[in-house]
Amino acid sequence: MIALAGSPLSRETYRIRLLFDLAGMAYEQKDGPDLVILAEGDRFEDAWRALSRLAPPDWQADGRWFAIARRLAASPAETALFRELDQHLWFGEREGQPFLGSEHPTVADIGCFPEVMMSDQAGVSLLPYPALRRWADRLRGLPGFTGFP
Amino acid sequence: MDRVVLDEWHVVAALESLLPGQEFPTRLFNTDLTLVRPAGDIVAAWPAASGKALPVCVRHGHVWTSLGTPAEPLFDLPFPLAAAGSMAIDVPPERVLDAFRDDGAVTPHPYCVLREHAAAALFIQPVDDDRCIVHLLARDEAGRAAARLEFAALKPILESQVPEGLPQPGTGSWYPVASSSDLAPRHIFHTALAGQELALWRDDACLANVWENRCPHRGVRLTIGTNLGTALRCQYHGWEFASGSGRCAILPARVTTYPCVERYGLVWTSLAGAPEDIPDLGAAYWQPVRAVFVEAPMAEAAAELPHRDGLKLFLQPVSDDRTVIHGLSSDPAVSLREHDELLTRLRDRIEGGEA
Repeated sequence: MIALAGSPLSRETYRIRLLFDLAGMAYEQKDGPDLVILAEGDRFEDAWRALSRLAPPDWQADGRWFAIARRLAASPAETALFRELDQHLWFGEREGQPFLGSEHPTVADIGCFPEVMMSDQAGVSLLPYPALRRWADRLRGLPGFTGFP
Repeated sequence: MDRVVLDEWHVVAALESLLPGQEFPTRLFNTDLTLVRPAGDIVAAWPAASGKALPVCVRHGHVWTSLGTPAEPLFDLPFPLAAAGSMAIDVPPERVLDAFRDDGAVTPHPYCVLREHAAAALFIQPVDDDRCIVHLLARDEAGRAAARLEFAALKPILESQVPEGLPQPGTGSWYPVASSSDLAPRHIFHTALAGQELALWRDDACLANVWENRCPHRGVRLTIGTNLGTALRCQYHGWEFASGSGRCAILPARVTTYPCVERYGLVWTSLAGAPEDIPDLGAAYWQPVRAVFVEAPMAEAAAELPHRDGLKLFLQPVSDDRTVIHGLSSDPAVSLREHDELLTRLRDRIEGGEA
């Protein structure tokens, strides 16, 4: 079984845990200061590489939206990124793609979620991004969803 | 300030946070203070603006001072408690008191709450009118950890409360505040009109509600609550308010509700008075385009609005410096993407003040 070690308060650990929980993957949570994923001797130190490598085939993301998730994690207060996500999701709602570039959730959605969810606490209100708020509600409603501690 | 409050002892630091020989800056009632601890329990305090020393007492593991003249010694605790950490919070001290005074707690001091059943206490240091430092106390290590966790969980909820008595605009007009499709099932839509935050939601019978985004109980934003389909549940204490009336099911409380009309695919509301009629757009089929949020005052947006056949634009003043542009299209030959390009370019022009 995969073992996941890392601070439960880190966004990196949360992202991986969210993938495991939503995709229904069995794993063992261990405490530890740094994110380490152990899968039969494998050890991934880059959380983003781990996220796409561990994701089952139907959770693999469109490269463009995965890249945007990484940019958002690097600059979680960038208005232009929030606007791009909101605009894309608004059209997605009309074109049968309620998730990022997809009709079902992928690691791109998981990648963006912690920053979007925590933006209010970071002083970035989601009021100007209504489609992003609806998308966050859709993710929260998925079976297996677990919130950030 | 009230003389009685001024003459009280007020907590200004946990003793353990003062390192011997180092100056410790802090603040009490809008006044910057400096504390020093030459040794042991000996602490001196004075306002940064003058050199006149203030009265000091060291009790319950904390340093207390006064900007007035305390007439009485500090209160006693029924059992010894140790400092469990100090946290700054962007909330008026009175609201922190309210949140902790609930369940049989006693207040031996206007800004201190003693919770005997939990063997814990809370000393509040009023820093500014809307900011304070909360000093937590508990009996043992487990109690100290629990107190820190409890407060860390409560802090963001208290800080998200909306202050009461926001100015109401005297506008007797209808404004669009959302499109009908924004109000997704079991969702709570968040917007604002003239500085008044609004929570919009659709019940399971499709009725749309426009409510003040504020729980009448403790002022928490309703947009962080849950749309139950027939009522909205506040995240904080779980109070539920019925669709339509905004009434609480079990207690005599009610959310402030605003009129709500859905027309041409938009949700319209009015904050005050008897509004004029919603503009009559005739019998054409109107399709809402994606609303665009602009970081600029409504007047600046209004000056830039283009005139196009088959496209009607309406402005929603979100606050003094933020505006939403809502659009309705009656021309099926122009796609929603094309309208969106037009409106995002318009937004960039308004915000940038240039081409």
